[in-house]
Amino acid sequence: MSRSLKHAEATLETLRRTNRQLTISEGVTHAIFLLITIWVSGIVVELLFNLPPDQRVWLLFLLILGSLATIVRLILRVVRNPILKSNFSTQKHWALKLGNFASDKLRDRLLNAIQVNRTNRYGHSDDLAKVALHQVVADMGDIPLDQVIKRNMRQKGLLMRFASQTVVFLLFLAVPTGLSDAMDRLLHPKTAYTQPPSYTISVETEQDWAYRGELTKFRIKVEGEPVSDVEFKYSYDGGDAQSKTVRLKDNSVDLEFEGFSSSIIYHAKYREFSSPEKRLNIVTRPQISELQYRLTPPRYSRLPVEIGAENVGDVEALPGSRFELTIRATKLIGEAYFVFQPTGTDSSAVDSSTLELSGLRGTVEHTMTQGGKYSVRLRDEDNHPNRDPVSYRIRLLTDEYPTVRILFPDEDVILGDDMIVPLQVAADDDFGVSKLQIAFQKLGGENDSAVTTFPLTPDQPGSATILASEMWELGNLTLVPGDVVEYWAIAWDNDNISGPKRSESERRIVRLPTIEEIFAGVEESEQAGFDQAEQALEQARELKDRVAEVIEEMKRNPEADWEQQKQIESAIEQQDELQKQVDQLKQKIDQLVEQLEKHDLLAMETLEKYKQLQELLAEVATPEMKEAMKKLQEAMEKQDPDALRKALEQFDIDREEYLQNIERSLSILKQLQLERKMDELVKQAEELLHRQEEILDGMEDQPADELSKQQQSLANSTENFEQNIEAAKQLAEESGETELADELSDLLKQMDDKKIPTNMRETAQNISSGNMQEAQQQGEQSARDLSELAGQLSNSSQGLKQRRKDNMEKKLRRLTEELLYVSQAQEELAGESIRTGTHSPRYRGLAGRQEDIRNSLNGVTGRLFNVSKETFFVNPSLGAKLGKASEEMGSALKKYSDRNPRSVAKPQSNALGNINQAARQLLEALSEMQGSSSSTGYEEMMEKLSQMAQQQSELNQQSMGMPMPGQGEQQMPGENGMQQLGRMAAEQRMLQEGMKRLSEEGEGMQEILGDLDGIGKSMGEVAGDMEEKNVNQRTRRLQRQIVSRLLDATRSVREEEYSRKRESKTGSDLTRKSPKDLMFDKDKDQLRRDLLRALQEGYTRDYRQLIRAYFRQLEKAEELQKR
Amino acid sequence: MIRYFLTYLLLVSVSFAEISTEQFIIARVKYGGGGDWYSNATSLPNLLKFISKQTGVRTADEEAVVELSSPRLFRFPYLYMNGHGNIRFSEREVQQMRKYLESGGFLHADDNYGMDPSFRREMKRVLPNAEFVELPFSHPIYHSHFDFPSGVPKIHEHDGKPAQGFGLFLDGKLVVYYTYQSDIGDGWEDADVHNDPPDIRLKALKMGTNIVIWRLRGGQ
Repeated sequence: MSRSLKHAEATLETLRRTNRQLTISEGVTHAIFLLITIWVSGIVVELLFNLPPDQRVWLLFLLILGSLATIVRLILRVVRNPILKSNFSTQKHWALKLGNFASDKLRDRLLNAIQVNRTNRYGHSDDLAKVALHQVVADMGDIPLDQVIKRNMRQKGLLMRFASQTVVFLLFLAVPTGLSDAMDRLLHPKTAYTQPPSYTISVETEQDWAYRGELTKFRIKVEGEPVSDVEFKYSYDGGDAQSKTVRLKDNSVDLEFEGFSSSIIYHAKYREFSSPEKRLNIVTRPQISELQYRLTPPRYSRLPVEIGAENVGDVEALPGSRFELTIRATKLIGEAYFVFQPTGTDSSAVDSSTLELSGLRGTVEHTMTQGGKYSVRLRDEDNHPNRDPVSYRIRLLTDEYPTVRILFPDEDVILGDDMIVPLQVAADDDFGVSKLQIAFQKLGGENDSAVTTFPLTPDQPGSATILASEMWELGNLTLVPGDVVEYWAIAWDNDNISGPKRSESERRIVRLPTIEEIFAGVEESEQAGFDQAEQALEQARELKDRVAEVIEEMKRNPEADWEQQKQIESAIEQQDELQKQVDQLKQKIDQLVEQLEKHDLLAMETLEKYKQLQELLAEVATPEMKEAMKKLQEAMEKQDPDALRKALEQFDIDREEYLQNIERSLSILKQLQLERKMDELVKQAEELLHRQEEILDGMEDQPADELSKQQQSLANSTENFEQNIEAAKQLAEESGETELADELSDLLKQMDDKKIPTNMRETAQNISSGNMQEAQQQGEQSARDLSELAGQLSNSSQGLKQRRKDNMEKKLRRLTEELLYVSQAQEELAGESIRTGTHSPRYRGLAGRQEDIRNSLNGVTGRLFNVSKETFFVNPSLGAKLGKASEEMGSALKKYSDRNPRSVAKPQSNALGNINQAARQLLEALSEMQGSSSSTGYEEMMEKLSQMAQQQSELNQQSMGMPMPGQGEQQMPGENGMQQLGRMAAEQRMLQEGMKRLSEEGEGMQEILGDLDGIGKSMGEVAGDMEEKNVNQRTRRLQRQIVSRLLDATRSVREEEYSRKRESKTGSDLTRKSPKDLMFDKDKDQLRRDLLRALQEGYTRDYRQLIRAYFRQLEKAEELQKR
Repeated sequence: MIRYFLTYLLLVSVSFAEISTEQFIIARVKYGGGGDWYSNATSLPNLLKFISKQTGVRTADEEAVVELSSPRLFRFPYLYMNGHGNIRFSEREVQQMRKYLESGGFLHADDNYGMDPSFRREMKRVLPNAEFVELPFSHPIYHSHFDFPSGVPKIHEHDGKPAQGFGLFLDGKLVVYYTYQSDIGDGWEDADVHNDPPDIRLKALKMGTNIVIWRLRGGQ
């Protein structure tokens, strides 16, 4: 056998041995694996089913049986494996193995070589067989034959071990205690074991994610025996585990967490039972980090654009406002919506609009037409919404209605002669007033006129608060007395979104009063004035008595006791109360004067007297009286009986003057009453005439019904007028004005004879029955009667004033004479006193004379006071001067008693000075009065105008009887008529000429007389119509106008006469006296002028000498003063 | 003298031509010295309108403005001046103003509070021999159209003194009417300028009407 063959066979033998070892090892390993598997399986079965002991015995028996079978099988496998035997077949087996490991070619070559060298069955060369074998062995040299078998065998064993170990490991891992318990039970098959409970725990969430910071819910359930609590464990990524023991109810619980900041891993555990670990991902919602709106109000509101504060979304806006909202989100958003829910709707009525997105920002615009609430809903790119979108409020501001009110007049208005109502209207609106108007309508019961409007021009058009003023002239409304116009203001706001809203102010009334109403009001005020004055006078008298009592009491008991003090305090209070009464009286007179002035109801002269009365009332409480009151109060406070007594005495003296002032006011008021009443009658007569003329004018074109009503109304007014004359007559009788009373009686008789109201009623009937011609004739007759009446009343009124003036002049003249006499007597006495010694027998007589003079003076003073109650020309201060003179005379008398004739000179001189001053003042008053009544060119003018008015009136009367064209053939004037017209035309021309002359004479007085030329022209036109024998309606109207204008001119002259008279004396008004008359040639030597005037008054020669002496004395005194 | 007389006739005729053939116009005097000659801007148009409505006199809508040195001065029969400040007339203005007044012209001056001293001073230069005399309440200027029994109405408080109307006379003719402590010009203004009560404004307008009407009637 060759060495190569041996080597090859040895190699194969090695392989076989190694394989045998491995095969035995593998068999043992396999058997162990099987045994483990059998036993683990048994344990698992016990674990799973927890078998009862009898079954467990069977299981154990089976396990043992399986184990034995495994061992037997191993032995048999080793014993029966051929590979373990050493022979060619085994060599062939190993050669195959080796070839498998190397290559098929080598395997074949190896087997061939072994077979050839062992058998040489086919006779081939041994050398060749050896070489071949040698060659194969050489090729096998590189193969690690040991490893071929070992690796193969090891891999198999490792796999088996790994598999068994894994199974066992997994089992122990899954049920570590359960497995050992099961094995223990299996090894003690006959022992009865209690089966331990089993649990399955689960933890569920709604989804595998939750929102950051939001409530997260877990539901833990345990399946198995009831469990009281479990442990919930969770941990943030990379953080420590945290646990929470949760009590279960019915083996389940809902566990809530306020919110997680990041993702967590969680599970629940009970004993060894645990739920699978899960992960909860935390998601961040999108949020609005910034929000801001921009509000653009509607243009009409003129409100500025409003930028809201950051993150403030509530908004108040006007309808029509543009709302622009900008938001910024915390993360990129996929979509965003502006969701608006109008007020009063449910959530189904929302209006949604998409925001325009740009990065993190989004904007949306919304026009506000309704109030409600809005929110912004976001969704991020993963469709996660923002949490609970904030709901903001949209409050729609209401554009309020404008308010408008009439600021002025603040009450209903009685129209004055100027027919102007000054208006001031204010309107407010929250966003601006666009238009303001005054609307008005004439009220007439069911026949209210249509509403008329006119615009007001506001101070600041369009602004929120506007004020507008207007002088509303009602002259063109053709109002007649008694007409009522209702007016109100209307304002519109500037709301051009919903349309301008309109408001109206309260309604006010403008009334054109009838003259009766005005006079009724005046009489009411006048009566109230009387009542007030009489009440004040009564109080003043009571107070005087009380003060006198207190003074007497104080004389008896100089120490003022408590009761006296109380009486004095009461007197002071009463004085205050009295002054209030006087103030109220003044107010009443002010109202009266205002009414009279507003409606131009009085002659200027009467009005001026009322104004003087106002002034008198304002000065009732003299400064001395006020000072006395003050001193009395001070004395009361000081508790000084002596001072108190003196103050009280002074108070009593000053109160005397106070009382006199009140008496004087009342007396003058009563005097004025009659004059005012006469003015009223004149005015009423003129008014009636005017109304009659209006009716006549209206006969051509106005509806008969209306005219008839007016005529009827005029008849009623005329009847009232008669009653008014009757009342004036009674007043005249009461005032002792018998002459006036007689005149008024005559007037009433004339009215009765003429039956003016009856005539007017017939006229009204004729108008309503269409008998216009007769109605016109009757109306013209009434107009003539009324014209005559007005003239007569005017004369009576003037006559009354003139008589009173004359009477007063006489009284003043007499008083002046008396005063001058006293002055002269005092002067003579003073001279004589100086010359007479104390031992002279005449001395005693001097004192007696002084006493007489003093008595005379006191007499004059008393009379002067009485006169001062009747006129404003005499100022009560005159009485004060005379009182002072009397006091000085008393002092002189005392000096006489002291037999000190030389010291008598001073008080006598003082007395003389006071008398002279009083005399001078009285002379001035007389002078003013005389000046005011002197005959003037104005009077002549008035007389001529009156005459012309009378002539024209007669001429008119004649022409009224003439037929007019268009009245039928029968009405045409015959030959006589033509002649009459010719005469009338001539008369009219004469009147025209007269007017021309008068106009020339009155040059410079146009402003008073009005357009005299115009009257003349009208006369010319009337004359022309007459000359052309064409007397028509126009002619008659012109004729009436001429009379009317002549009467107006007459009145103007009267008033201007008064005005001119005022220039000659100091005027006054409510606040201050009028400046002095304008006198360009003012004589500096006032005394001389006064003297001249005094001398011209027609005194007797003696008096003239006396006056000269008096003025010489005054001149000297003034010169002395200048030095 | 003849020359003066002819000038006078010419001026008067021109003035009356202005009145009779055209609308009545008030000329506001533009004076020097720094005072606000232009104050109360809305006053004269309001007054002219009021006069027109109340009296039927045809009036211009607006005022004219004239300097005293201007030859146009003699075209205006009615001058108005007011202000709060200093007034100064040049020598030429003084002479021309004197000539204007002597020739029949009329000036209404309204103290707006503050022009009194300088106005009196300058008018003394214009009419050295004339003294301001307060007009009595009986003067026709207070009764020409509306009745003002207590003289010129008080419109504004100023020093709280009573309102006074003064006149400068030439040969017995009132050529300058000076309202002092009244400020009626303020009362003519639009209501919202001084917020005067309507009745006060009405008084002012009535008084203004009186002055104009008195003047148009040839008042002296």
